[in-house]
Amino acid sequence: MIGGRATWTIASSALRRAPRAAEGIAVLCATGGAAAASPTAAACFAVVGIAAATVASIGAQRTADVTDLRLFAAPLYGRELARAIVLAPCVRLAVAALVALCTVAVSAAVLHRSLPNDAWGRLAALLAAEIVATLVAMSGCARRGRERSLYVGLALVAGAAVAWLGFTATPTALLAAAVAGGTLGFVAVRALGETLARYDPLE
Amino acid sequence: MPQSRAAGAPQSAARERRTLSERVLHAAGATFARDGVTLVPPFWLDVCAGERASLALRDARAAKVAARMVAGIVKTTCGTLLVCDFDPRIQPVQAKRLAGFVPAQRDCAPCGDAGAAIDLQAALFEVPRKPARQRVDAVLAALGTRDAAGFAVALALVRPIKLLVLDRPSPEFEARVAQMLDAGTALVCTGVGVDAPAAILAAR
Repeated sequence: MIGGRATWTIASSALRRAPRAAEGIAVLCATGGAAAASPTAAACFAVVGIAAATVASIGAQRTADVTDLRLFAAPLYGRELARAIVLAPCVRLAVAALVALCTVAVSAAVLHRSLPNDAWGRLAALLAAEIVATLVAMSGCARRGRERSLYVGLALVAGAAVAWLGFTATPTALLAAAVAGGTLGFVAVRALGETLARYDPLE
Repeated sequence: MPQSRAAGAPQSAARERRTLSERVLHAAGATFARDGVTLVPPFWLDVCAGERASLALRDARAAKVAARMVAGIVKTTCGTLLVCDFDPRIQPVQAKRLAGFVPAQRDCAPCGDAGAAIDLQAALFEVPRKPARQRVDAVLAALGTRDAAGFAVALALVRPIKLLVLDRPSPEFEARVAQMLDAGTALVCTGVGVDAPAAILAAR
């Protein structure tokens, strides 16, 4: 059984790397979608944010992280490795978006303006959607060609579904988004674990 | 078919009397194929504790994959491969605990942040950080080098192992590593062709 030390070391080494542009776009879109006054603008931010999170998850850096030979030479089961690998992108996305929205809220207060009433709820829904897209897309890192494209499509659909469920930011909608996001995220991490357990690092 | 030989091993009858507990590596018809293409043709190899063996394959890619198979990183497509009687397909964690893997010298990443690499390796193998750093320093001193390949060997030896696998080492590097290993650790090297460094055998 993997210890907390190994999980933290894997996650912290990924967290130390400079964020990619797509990750920054995903964070900005989550913040923008939460702070947007009109639902149309928020929906546009949501779509771009989910796409950016997916692109960040399938990029060269993330692929190198997921297929790092050192991790496959270590005595870890696939599911343990999956849990350790997904931690860094999820933490980075959530913390950055929270900090960004706090900054927007403080700026709005200084300028005597106010955020929409449902800003925090919408941020939670958009973050859940982007995290689900990230988790689903990461399984594609260990695949190539058509299978990789399939995971990208799956990530976009899963992220969009969670965002759609929680978009109105009512308590019921947020609960539905949380349940759907939690279920999809759990399944995605299990699938990544299975993928890593079967993966043969040839390159 | 790949050529495999074990050096420093007693011949047939005496060898067969050895108990299973001494056997570090057993490969019987171990093969790796992908998309219907056989990358590593079947090979047979038995290595006991403290022995040194080599495995010569037809090309660099096959040698690379074979080295990873022997270290339990890549799973055999068919045939049997056991590391200390653990099948990496079924018991990957147990097999990887006992086998250390050193990539080909040209594939070894530059040392970069050596401290972080040692900390990661120590965490992955559940070794306390300070002894791990001391062990790496000791191995590098014994090897007399601080290059990327030497560092990769030191990382592989950060914890006690029974089998060390070198992927396509140079003859000098292989000899230095063999000299430095303790008596109970087996060494398996892969190489390309019969004239490959790994096919040059010497008893330890």
